[in-house]
Amino acid sequence: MNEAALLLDVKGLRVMFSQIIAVDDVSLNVARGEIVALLGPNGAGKTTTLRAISGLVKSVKGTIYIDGVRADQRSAPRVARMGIGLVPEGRKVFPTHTVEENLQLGGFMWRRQKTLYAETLSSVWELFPRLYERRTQLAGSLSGGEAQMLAVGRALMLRPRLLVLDEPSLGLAPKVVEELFGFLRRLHSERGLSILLVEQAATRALELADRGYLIGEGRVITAGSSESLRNDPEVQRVYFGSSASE
Amino acid sequence: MKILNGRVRTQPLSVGLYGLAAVMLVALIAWPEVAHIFGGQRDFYIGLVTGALITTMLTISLNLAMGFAGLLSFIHTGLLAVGGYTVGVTAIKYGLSPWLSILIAVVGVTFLCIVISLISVRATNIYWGLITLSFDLVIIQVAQQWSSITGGFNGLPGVPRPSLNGVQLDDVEFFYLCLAAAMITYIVTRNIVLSPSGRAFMAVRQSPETASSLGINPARARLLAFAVSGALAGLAGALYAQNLNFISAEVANQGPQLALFIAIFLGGFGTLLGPVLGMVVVTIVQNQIRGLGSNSLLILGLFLLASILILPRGIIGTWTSSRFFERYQTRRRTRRSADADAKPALTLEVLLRQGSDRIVISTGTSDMPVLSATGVSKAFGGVLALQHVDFDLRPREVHGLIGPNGAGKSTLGSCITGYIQRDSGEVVLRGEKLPRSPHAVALLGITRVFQTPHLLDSSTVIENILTGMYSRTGSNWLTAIFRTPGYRVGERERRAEALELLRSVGLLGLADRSAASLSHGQKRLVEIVRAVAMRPDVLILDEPATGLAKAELVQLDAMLRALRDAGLSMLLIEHNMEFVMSLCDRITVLSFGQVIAHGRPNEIASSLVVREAYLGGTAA
Amino acid sequence: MTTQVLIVSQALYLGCVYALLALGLTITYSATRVVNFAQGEFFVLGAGVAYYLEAVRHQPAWVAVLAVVVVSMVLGVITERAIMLPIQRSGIHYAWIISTLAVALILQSLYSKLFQGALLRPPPLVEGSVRIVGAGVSYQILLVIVCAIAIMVAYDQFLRRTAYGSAVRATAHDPETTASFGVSIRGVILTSFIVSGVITALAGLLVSSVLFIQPTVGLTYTTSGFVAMVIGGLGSSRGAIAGGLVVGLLNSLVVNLIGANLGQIAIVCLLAIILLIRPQGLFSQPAGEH
Repeated sequence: MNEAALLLDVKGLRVMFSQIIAVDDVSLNVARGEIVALLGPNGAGKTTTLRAISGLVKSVKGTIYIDGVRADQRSAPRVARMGIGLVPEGRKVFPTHTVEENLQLGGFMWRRQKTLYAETLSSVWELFPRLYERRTQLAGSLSGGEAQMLAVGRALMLRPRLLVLDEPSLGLAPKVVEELFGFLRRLHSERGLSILLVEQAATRALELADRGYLIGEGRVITAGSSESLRNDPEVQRVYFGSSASE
Repeated sequence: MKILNGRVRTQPLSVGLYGLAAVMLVALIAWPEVAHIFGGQRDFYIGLVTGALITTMLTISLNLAMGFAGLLSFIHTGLLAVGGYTVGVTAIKYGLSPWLSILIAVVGVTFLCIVISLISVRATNIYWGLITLSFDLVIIQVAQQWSSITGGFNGLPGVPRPSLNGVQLDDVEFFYLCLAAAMITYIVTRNIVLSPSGRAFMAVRQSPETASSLGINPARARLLAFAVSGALAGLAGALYAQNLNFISAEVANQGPQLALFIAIFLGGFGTLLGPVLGMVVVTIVQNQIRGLGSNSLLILGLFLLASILILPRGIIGTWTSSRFFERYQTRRRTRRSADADAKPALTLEVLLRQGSDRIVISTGTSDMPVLSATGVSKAFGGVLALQHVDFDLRPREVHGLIGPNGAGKSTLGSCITGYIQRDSGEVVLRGEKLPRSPHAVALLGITRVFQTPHLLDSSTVIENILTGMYSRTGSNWLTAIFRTPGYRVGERERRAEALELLRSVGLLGLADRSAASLSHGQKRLVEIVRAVAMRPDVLILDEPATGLAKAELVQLDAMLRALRDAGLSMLLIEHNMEFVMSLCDRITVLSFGQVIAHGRPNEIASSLVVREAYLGGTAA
Repeated sequence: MTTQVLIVSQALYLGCVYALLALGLTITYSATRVVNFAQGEFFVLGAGVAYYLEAVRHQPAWVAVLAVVVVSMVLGVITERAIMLPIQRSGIHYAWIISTLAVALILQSLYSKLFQGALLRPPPLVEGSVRIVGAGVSYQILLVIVCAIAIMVAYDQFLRRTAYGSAVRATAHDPETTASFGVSIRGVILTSFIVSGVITALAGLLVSSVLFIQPTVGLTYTTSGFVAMVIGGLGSSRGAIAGGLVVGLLNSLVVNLIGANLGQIAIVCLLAIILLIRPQGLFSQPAGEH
């Protein structure tokens, strides 16, 4: 893969929490315009990898390059300015802020560029008309699906180069997940947004993504196109153990 | 995930520190004689050390509450004042013997602390601190306003010292009285801390949730710690007033309280000798800067700021974390590691059932469930976390509870243990309905091990195991303080049993290691042994495989099998599928708060419904 | 009627003082979860600078105001580092008590040396009084009330209507997520220390000609502000303001109607009652909004 086209390039990542190695050796990349899925069972290290990419935790080994610029060891605000828009696990909308205020916070970095900011905001309203209806409502009173959309919209306000989502389907009904993934598909096809998606629900994620990585026990077990992963028995094994693989 | 080895660290208090303490004690006993070198100023210097002894008593008392029990307290100088006023008022206004006054002061302050503790039952951390602060302010106000009793702003002069043979104690005799009181304070604190009750409130400080699962009632544990702390503070207050023959409300201000905080911090929170060391340093520093007027406060402040930057954990804390200490301690390795491979003297089954007054389900596979949950539902706001979950646990069974993230596994575990109150449905243990509070549920026989180990870091492994036995001894603080023969026999027996327990699961070599020095995997195993020391009927394990290396998973698997064969029923909440499939007898699968599958491992492994729930789509 | 006017005016101006103190404490608490024992020292700073410039140097009032703002900003920066650095480096749970108390001590002793125990009482910014419903209320007291309300409203509007204010609110709730949108949390903390320092110092400037402020009373005022903050609700700036006004009202009522000595006791009893019945404060949500 042409190195220059890589929006995100992670090599040999290792993250530790006191004595536990949460991420052992993860290498992955996302090229411009791709949707890449990061799959794996709970506890495999997916969320930690994402948090390291976002600058919320520091890695002890390995490198992270965003559009050719070194990003590991940088703080979260710095990484945000480098173009990573995070939709955190559990959505984490600000409950005592209104829907609109949440979006405004998402666009914090652009607040001085009035025209650009206004454009971004109206594009988010256009994508999520239901949010516009509820723009003066407190975010804490939104349903799970609406909160997820708000979290995505908030990240979009950052005008990210790479949208990073951490288990967006968590706690959402299948119908809502469908709708959400529909939005992501639109973002990708209409705006060419690059997406890195962490999901436990592998099948769903692979329907959306072009490529995927399967993470287990802190390491990349296997990687490939969505087609190949969909039928890969390794997926069964990593999720259900060797006794389950046929 | 894999584990790296932690650094080895054993018992914090080394021979060096005890040696230092011994030297200090000898120096103190000889002090009145030594003070002759000050000539005419001898009385002043004796009085100085008397005052320091009293302040040290108060510091030890505060450390008991704050350092060991985790109760932020702004009231201790207020307690000192209450003790002093009690002694003054009873002796002056009511003419009681000063000896009796001291006793009344101790009882009175203890009572006050019990009251405060009872009405602050629901308070945690900062709120407890706020409550004590407000009570301290009340004490100051009452002392200043109730002039008829307290002498108002002027204070109460003429507080008499106790008498011996009709004559009030002179400075030297009073010094020895205070020295004795200080030693009693230290010994009482030490005895309580190194007892089941002490382990109980230390466990509560670390994690009230974990403590509850061991059958410890957090409110009662805190009450005990605060009451004992109060008793010691009352004693200090009584002697304080008698030392100066005077008491006023000023002593309860936050300024003097500051000196206490400084002393505890300098010496090291939650250590036994810390307050003493800290007080020594503070006294020396205060004495040196005494003559500098307003500069003294400035230097004190700068000194404090500098010390927290240089010694972030206080003197003792920084010493024990340092590398010199490690090298020193490495030579004092445990001798038990040689016995680690000896054959178990008692089987695990005997250890789990021995002396238990519960009905032993001795024969193999009875189908009568030990624990059964029917129709359990729980909603958080609009989210249905659990919907009519039916579930049961048989004797001698490892029952797996799996499901995708957010399915409600932990919620079910919490509903069973009483940490969360279920909205509807019933949970029954051996035919009995479960009580509401977590510690009562634990006492009935259900205990839980959490995802993050919560061992007492500053204690050894064996002491942690002993913490698990709290429910069998209850709070025996009185016998602990006096170290009665009955208590000592009991402690020896429990210690022996704890060692046997460790031996029967192959962990005897860890017995004397400090819990902080264990690797994550070892902590996990020790935590399970601690829970088992309670002799529960049901053990709930919350994602125990998290963070364990392959070798440690094998150890965990072996331990759980051994426990199952010894008669324990276990609910294993886990997402490590290999581990679950190979170990469990039956498995229940949750998804979106509902049971979607139930059966033996091979049935679950081949179930399409389960696949779909995890992977989120029709499996190809 | 005279008594009523007296009570109300006293309640208002005392309430405003407590409210500003509580607001200052809340601003730093929201951002750092640290209760700053050195907060009252800014109050004394305001009075001290005003006294020095107006009473000793005979400078006009606007010079004093400017000086107070500048000096308190500088001191805010210094205390932020002095307090937060030890906390961040130390592992212990109670490190904040030590570092804030240390800073309070240092400042208190500096004031003692600088002012040698003088009473920090500059001449009033505005002389004279006005008659309201038959009772005389000094202009200075009215000025205090008006300015204090202006400050409170200004800060509230800052929080709710500006982008940075929104970021400050978000930081109080979830610093991590806020950081991932480009907000520097260190910047928010520093700003909080500066703003709270300035507000508290201005409070000291305003009331220095009415109250009797000695160089060493910092801790006492910190405690009062603390009490008001808790009564109103820990972590809520509107709660802090309300708590301060409640305390002022209660104090005024008790002192004027029941007994001059019982004001403090009444406040403390209210605090104890609140902590036992509704520990989240009168105006805050149990989860701790803001």
